[in-house]
This record gives sequence, structure tokens and C-alpha cells, in this order.
Amino acid sequence: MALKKLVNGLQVFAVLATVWTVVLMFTAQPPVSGDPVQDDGARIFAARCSGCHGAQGQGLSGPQLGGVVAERFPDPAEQAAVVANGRNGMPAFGSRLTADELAAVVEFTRTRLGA
Amino acid sequence: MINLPGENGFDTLPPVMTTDSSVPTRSRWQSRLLIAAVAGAGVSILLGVYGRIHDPAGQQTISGFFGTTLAFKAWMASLVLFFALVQLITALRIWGRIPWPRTLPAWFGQVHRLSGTLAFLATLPVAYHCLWAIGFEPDMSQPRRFIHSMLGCFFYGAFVVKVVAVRSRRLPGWMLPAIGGTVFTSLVGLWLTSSLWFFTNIGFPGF
Repeated sequence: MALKKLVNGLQVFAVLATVWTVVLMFTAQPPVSGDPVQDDGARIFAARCSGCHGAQGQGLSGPQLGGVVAERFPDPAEQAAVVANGRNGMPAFGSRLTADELAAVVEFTRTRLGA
Repeated sequence: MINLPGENGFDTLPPVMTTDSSVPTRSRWQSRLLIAAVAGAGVSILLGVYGRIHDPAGQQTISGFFGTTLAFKAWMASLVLFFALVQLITALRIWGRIPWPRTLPAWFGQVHRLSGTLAFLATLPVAYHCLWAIGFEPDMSQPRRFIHSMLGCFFYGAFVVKVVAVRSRRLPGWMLPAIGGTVFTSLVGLWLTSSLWFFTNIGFPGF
């Protein structure tokens, strides 16, 4: 029966695809800039910020950051305070990020997002 | 109408009804269920551990026609839900819970298997991006992301339990629908906390 053969073949493919996905999860490396601060910032942004601000900082439920955040906050300390304390529905990250992590993600959003 | 294995091409599906002599002893099916549950729990825990210890890559992975990975994921998850619905409906018919179609074509059981296989395949790129690029959200002050992370790990564990259970003919008849229902429910929860959130907060169709 052709359909049965197709399904059996697809199930074998699904097993192979699962193995391939697991291998990829452990072997795929994100491109690195060589700057540990930037790389930390990218990682933190992806984990903490991209859900609302978008993976490219284009804005989703949260406002756009890419290309505009440095204009909106000329002083990085002011932006860091917003990240730490939260504002207008944005959660406070002061207790969840170290000072270095906070600085890294602020630096990342100002220099790499929307660049 | 109750279909038994070997009829209407359902040779790969479990029996709905068993005779008294074929009813497994409680200890046998319990040990089989325990093996399945341990395997499923192991998968769920491993995924959660990976999500916690892996540094999120923060990269777009697959976007294709959709422009962004987030939109791709929202639509792929919707496709998964569609295939899961097909599987649910075909399962309801196979187990005699809905009367249509009145007579089952020989290929009906294969459509059930096909829909489940396609649903699982469609979850892989979504799960890959979630775990590799975004990571597990342990912070309960982010309830949507926390629940989504937990459900994602739970889903694959429940799926493993179902895969093990579907190959066992010694489980009681109610067990497989219960496990399948659990898998489906977790999938609905995943869709509500991801695709629905995307369509209502970001936009529809979102690309």
C-alpha cells in the first residue's frame, strides 16, 4: 500500500530529522564578534528582550530599539536605569541581571541593533 | 462501530476492545506505563536542562517567506495544530467516538499516522529555534514565556510516552486516548502561549 510506505518512510525521516536537530543544538555556533561584551549583550538580548522588542530590535509589543535607542537615550546610564527598574509595562531586570550584564545588553542595543 | 487491529488497515493501531482473556494483568501494563513515563520524563528533563544551561544564541534561524523567525514559528506552530486536529478527529473516528465516515476506508488509519508524523516534523524547527536561540524561561514573573517553556518540554515528554504506548498492545484501552489527549492539550497550550500571542500582539498574519 503506497500510503503506508509513504508514512513509514516519513517516520524514518522524522527519526533522522530529530537526530539531526539534536546534533545541531549541540554543535551550531552563533557568529561571534570577538568582543565578549557584545556577545554577552547579544545573548542577553535574545533571551530577555527579543520577545517584546523583536529579534532585530524592530519592535513588537515593546517599542523599536534598533537604530533609535541611542537617540532616545543619549545617556547610556539613563537607558540602563530603564532596563534595571522597568517602565510602562516593561519588567525590571535589575534583580535578574548583574551590572556587567546590564551594561553589555545596553551596549549591544546601542551599537549592534539596527546597525 | 469498533475497529479491531487488522481490520480496515488498522494493523498498526492498538485495539479498542479486548476480550477477558487478553486483558493484561495490572502489574504488566503498569510496568510498561512506568517505562514509557520514565522515558518521557527523561526527555522533558533533558530538554529543560539543555534550555537552562545552553547560552541562548540570539540569532534568527529560519525565516524564509515569513521574514522573521518569530512569524515563521507562529505559522509553523499553527500548522502543527492543524495536523494535530486532523489526528484528533481521525482518532475519534477510529475509536468510535464520532460516526463519520460511516464506513472507514482502508487508508484511514494511515491518514491518522501521517498527520501525527507531519505534526511532529513541523515541531522540530520551532523547538530548535526556541531552545537554541532563545532558551528556557525560568522566571515566573514572565508567565507566558515560563508556561510556554514548561509546556514545550512537557510536550516532547508526553509525545515520547505516546510513541512508546502506541507500540504496546498490553495497555488498557483507555490509556492511549488519555495519553494522546494529554499530548494534544499540551500542544494547544503551546499554541495559545506562542502563536495566539504573536497574532494578537504582533499582528496577523505577521509577515
